Amino acid sequence: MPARLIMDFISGAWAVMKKDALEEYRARYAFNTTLLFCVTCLVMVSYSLGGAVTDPMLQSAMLWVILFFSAMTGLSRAFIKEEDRGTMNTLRLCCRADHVFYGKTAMNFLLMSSVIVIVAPLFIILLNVNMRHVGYFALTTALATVGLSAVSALLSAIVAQARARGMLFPVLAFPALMPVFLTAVRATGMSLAEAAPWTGGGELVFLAAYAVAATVGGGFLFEYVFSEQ
Amino acid sequence: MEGLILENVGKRFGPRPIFSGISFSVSQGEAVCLWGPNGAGKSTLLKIAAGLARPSSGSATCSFGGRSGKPLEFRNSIGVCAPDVSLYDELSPEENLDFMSRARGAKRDKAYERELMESFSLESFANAPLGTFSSGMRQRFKLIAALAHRPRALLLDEPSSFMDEAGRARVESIVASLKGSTALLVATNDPAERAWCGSTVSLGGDKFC
Amino acid sequence: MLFLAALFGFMAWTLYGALVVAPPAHVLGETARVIYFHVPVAWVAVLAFTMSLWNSVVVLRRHSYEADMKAEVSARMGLWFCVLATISGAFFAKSAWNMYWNWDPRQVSITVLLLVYMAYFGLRSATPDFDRRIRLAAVYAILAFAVMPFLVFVIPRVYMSLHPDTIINADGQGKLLDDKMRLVFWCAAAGYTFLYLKLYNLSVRVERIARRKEGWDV
Repeated sequence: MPARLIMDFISGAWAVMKKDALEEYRARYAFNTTLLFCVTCLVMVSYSLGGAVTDPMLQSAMLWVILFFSAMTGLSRAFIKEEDRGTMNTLRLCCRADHVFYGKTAMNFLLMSSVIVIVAPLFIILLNVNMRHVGYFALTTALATVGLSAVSALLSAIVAQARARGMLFPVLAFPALMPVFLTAVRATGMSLAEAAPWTGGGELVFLAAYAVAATVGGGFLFEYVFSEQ
Repeated sequence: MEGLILENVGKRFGPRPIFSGISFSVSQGEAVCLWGPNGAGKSTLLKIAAGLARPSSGSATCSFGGRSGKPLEFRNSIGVCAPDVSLYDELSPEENLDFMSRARGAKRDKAYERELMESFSLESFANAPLGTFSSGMRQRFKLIAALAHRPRALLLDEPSSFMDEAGRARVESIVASLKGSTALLVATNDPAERAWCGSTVSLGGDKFC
Repeated sequence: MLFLAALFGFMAWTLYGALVVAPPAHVLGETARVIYFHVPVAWVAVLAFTMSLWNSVVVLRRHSYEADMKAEVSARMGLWFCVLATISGAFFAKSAWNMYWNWDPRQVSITVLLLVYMAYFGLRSATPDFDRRIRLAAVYAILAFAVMPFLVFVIPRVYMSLHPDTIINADGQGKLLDDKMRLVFWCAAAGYTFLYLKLYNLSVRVERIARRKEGWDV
């Protein structure tokens, strides 16, 4: 009965996400630090530029460098937190691996997109950005964040089982996330430029393809990271 | 046979072997004690039986309802209470139990949960975050969480640690009430806990005694 | 014995051929002789990484210590050959374009590849539990490999290429080398492949002895 399987899957992943959201709401491990990190970096960049005019590609590169490193600090917590508090085994005992992976990916997405919703307007104000194609920018960010969330969830589960996690996470994540990063920088630059970005379309298709590959492939590989069997 | 089966299990950390060639089974209604000095690998063996650690050699399997497979495939049939299995500090007992039953895809038996909470005198703390609990209260709730889904196999690692006299008595009476219907595996150093069990598997005896 | 003879034969002929037999190239002149080193070495790096990937898949399927050892040895060799390819490429870039580094797509890709496998070894050394280590490393190796097609697609869109094959083949003729050069080139490819196989075989044996000494039964 596929309908039943789908219902099981949704309720299992939902349980994991709901649990994480509740924990995050009570303790704010990740959201506050990630947001503060982003805002601090933006302010620093803005002040050091001192109102100098920068071109769209440079602005978008700065935005994504900031978002990338904030994701490194915020999203790596997903499983490090569980491992540190000894709750990883509870997850193993109660949850199926795919439910955990998709629940955590969804939580990462929620976390990252709520940070971006606050940071993007600040980016426009502080760096004097002329955002010409808001829809394109929103779609770029959403698709990039899906890929980022899934890959981060998988890598967080890997790093949580190793030593020197804080340092290891960006090292492991950078090569894996480089395609999203480069494409997101280009696509965001295009949404700041005058020409209509929609005509090419290649960037968005690429980001969507990466997002699909990361969520499907990540779910498959996660099984091996999560279960000790 | 219904229960837990360990065949020729060995574990090593790096090249150093902790134990090897351990075989035993725990059938439903049986109680087995894992006995041995510190560092003999009791907790590790218990985790292997629960599916939480991978044996370096041999295999751990589970068999319930005519089906057999790896322990973690029987999420609804296994309950574990061990130092390495913690619950969520930010959540209350109520929320922890809710999460665990949803994750298992099982229906909650709220009456039974309340009964357990009352028998461990935690009923007035059902909505307080676990982070505010003392270590003894935490241990009590860990046992409740291991029991709440009425598991057919119960794996306990030093279950009465951190507990006061009353708590120990509660654990003992609950274990006694489950003994006939559950496969029970207890890893312990405590002679009182050992006395609950019908048979004993000794680890690392010769080397350490 | 036959194998060693073939190895020495190919390597000697490759050295002689590369420096003496092959004529200087049409546009690039004497500097083009680097291809008898650079290209085979890069090919061996790819071969080694593919071996590492295959063994990583075996680790996940069978949790085999033996396969993990082979994956580690292959990755280490791949990394060394990758470094050689990067350095030889950079020297060529210096003489051809007067810059060691000019963000050619190949240079960017190979940097990412180096980063991936350095991260792979970083992960290995940071995971003390052996049974965990071999699985995590295998998952990371597969993940990194799965990302490669995306990089191949995205990098050329971002960076301009001056790599010789894209320039020399620009007229669509596709004829990069004359017959003599091609002979030397294929001998070099064969020679370095034999060299790789020999080194791989030796490394696996050394590693096996080292692990036995530590008390492993591999």
